[in-house]
Formats: sequence, structure tokens, C-alpha cells
Amino acid sequence: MNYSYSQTNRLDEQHNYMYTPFQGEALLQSYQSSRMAVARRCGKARRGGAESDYILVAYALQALARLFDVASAEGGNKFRALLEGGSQQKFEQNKKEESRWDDLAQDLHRITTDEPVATLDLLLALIAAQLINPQDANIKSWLDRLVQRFEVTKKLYESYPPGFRKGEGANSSVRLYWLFALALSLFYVGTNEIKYLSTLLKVCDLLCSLPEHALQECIPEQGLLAVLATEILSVQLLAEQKGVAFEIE
Amino acid sequence: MRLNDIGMIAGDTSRSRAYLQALARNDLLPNFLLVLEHASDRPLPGQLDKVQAHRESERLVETDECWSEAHFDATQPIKVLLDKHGISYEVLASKDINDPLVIEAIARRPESTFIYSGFGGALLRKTVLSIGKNFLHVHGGYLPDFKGSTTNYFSLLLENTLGASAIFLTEEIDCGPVLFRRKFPSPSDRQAIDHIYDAGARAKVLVETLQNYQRCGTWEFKLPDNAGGETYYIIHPVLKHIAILDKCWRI
Repeated sequence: MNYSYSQTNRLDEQHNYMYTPFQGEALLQSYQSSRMAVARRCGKARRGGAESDYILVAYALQALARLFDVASAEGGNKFRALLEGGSQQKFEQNKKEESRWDDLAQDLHRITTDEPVATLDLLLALIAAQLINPQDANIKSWLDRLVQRFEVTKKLYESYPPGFRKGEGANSSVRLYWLFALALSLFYVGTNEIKYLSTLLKVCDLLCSLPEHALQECIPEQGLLAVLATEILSVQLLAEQKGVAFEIE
Repeated sequence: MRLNDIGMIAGDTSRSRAYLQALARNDLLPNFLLVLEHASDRPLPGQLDKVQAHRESERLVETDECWSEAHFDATQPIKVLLDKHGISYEVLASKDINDPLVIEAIARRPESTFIYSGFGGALLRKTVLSIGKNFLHVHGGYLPDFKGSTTNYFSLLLENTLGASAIFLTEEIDCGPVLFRRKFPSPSDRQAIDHIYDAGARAKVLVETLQNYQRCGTWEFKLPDNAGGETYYIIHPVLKHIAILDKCWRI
């Protein structure tokens, strides 16, 4: 059975996910095989992406591993094992970078719905805030606005005018969808609120439906692996909790 | 008996079939129906073809009283029931509740309250909401905790329950005042939730809401301020499968 939700380019043809048919455990198996195939490919490929995103990924990976350590006894180890497909780079945390996250996280308090919002700035602020201060109440309120926009349109736009309703500019930036997936990953693993895993699955469907070169050009090494590993492991932990068979290949 | 001040707007979906059969069983039929129809080769959201409807109905095994309205014939078109009970109706060639043609038809009617049971995914916009009628909607979820779409799959994952809440629609989704709400235990076969148990739970709450109205002679609210809660969006199929396949909830 093929996993149909990421077979068609989801930037060109959105899926509304209404009344999806029940296909039994085979659906879970096909989901996992499909994601693992993308994860394996992206582990080997050379990557593009912004330089600053490499550092962001390194910090996010450490944060995610710590969150999985807390989430379940074997969570952190399983997460690290999933990442082993890629050439995991070691980054030393340093004061300079930490102060950069501080500045970015502060942006979350400066961004307001009374003014136009640049989606890239918002996403970077959302990720930085989760790395610095995951308790910040602004994280959920801004993430909820983005989730609402994405769920309604299945798109993320370059910017949102005052009021944060209809988006403006391009809606095909792979980097924005990937950063959104990273923000959702951090939030779901930190809070266990299932609605965010549901949206993360849809964003990953979209990312996995795109041509490989588009991913390679816009997402840093281990960037896609970080969100896919988070998504797959989160699904596995939930399935385990519910007594549903779902073994990672 | 007819509820003279109450009309209904319905697409011929499994939910509308459950509603009308429940209302007929409980002697609460509306005075009039506006039937939304749209020529389409494929079923619209909320519709099943006859074979699927048969198959779904066969999954119903619950005997608990709370599931009394889930026992409906999902294969029976609503017009068959309307003709059988002599309920007058008007068919509109539109699937869209916000279509000016539909809005005009509602405005022309004398009934002050309309039970709304259109096709899945439609939202009532400002124009239709401001024509001076109440729109009685039964949300598939326990309010205010579970707002939005497919919330019953989320509540199954979180607390092994389903819910339904009767509200008057307002511009803000699922935020209207709550007339009646209740929780339901998980059915033993979760595969028939979309078209049978969700419809059955909503029909049960609709019946209880209208019985309260009949008893009181006015609309009374269980939760006038339906604020707070979480807003959910259509559940991803992977999570929907985990909710259906869940083997731990009986323990």
C-alpha cells in the first residue's frame, strides 16, 4: 500500500484530510515506510540552506533529545538512533549564540498583529523562544495563529498583513514550511498536545511530497531529519501508549 | 407532533438522516425543511453511497441508552422520510448555506429557529447569521473544551470519550451559547465514528435540546458563556488510525 498523502506535490495540490478512509494498520506501516525512505535519502544528500539554520538545527537537536529524554525512558535514545543515519555534527554551545537566541526570542514580544508580520521573523522567534524559554505564553498564542492559517489554507505566506488573516507574497518557500515543522516539533515534544502533532504530520506530508532538489537547496543538513525523526518517534510513542503496533524499521 | 416554530436546513448526509429519523422517533419533527442539493458525481463531505452506508450501519452494536439515536437507517434518503411524515420542503440547487438563493429562502420562512445540518466543512458567514433567525447546530465535541473539527477523535485519544454540544451559531466558530451538551462513552467499534456514532451522538443531543425547549417553552442555556477551550483542526489520518486502533482504552 502506498502512503498517498505525500505522493502528490502538496504545494500544487492540497489535501483537505476530510473523511479520510480507514485503512487499518497498513496505513501506519505505509506512513512509516514512506517517511523512513525520505529520511534515509535526506541523511545522505548534500544540503544547502542558510548558514544560520545549521546552528539552529544543532541547538534544536539537542533540545529535542533532552525533551525526548523527559518524555519517555527510551525516547532520547530512540531519537538519537534515528538521527544516526545522518552525519551528526557536534556543536559546542557558546555564549555568542545564546545571546543571538535571546535577541530572536525577544522578537516574539515585539511582533504584533497590529502590524504586518514577516513569517520568517516570526518562525525564527518562535524557535528561539522555545530554545531559551519554553514557558513563554507568547509561544502558544503565535503558534496557534500560524497553525490556524496553515490548517485553513494549507499554505504559509511570506507575510501576513495587520490582523493576521489572509497571507501575502509567495507561499512556496520550503524554508518556511521546514521552520514551521521545527517550531511544531519543539512544541509538541515539550507539551504533548496532540493537535500540534496533527499539524506537524500535515506539514511533513507537504515537505515529503516536494522534489528532492527543492529540499536540498533550502534545508540544512539534518534539518529535515530532525523534524522527521521527531514526527516518527512521536507517532511511535503515542501508538505504544495506545497499544497499537508500530515498530520503527 | 410538529415543532411549528422550527425549520431545518439539510444536505442529504448521514448526519441529516440520523437527525430526521431521531426527530421522527421522538415526535419532534420540524415544520419545514430546506434541502440543499448539488449535482455531483462524487459524494459530498458527510455523504456515503448506498453500499458504504449499509456497511457502516452493520458496525453498530451498542445497546446502551446513550446510543439510542445511533440506530438509524443510513441508507434512507431524507426525502423518503419527509414524504412519509408529510413534512413540506423546498429543494434548493445549492450546497452552500451562504448562497444568496439559500439566504433568501431562509429569510422568507416564518420559523424563528433553523436546525442546521449542511454539508461538511461549510461555515455560516455574517450575512446569513444576521437575517434574524437562530441557527441551532450540534457540534461534534464537548464544549467548550473541544472546539473545531473532528474533535471526537482528539477526545478519544485524550480521554476515551466522545461529545456533542447544541449551540446557536455565532460568527466565532463553536463559540455560541451552549443549550445542551453531553459526553458519550467510546463505542466498542471505533471504525463507524465518522458516519454513525458521531451522527448518533449529535442526534441524541438534538433530541434532548428540543425536548428541553418543548418542556420550558423557551431556549434555556446550560453554558451561556462558551469561552475558552482548545480549537482543533481536521485530524491527520495517522492519528485518526491510532484513535480507531487504540487497544488500551478498555483497560
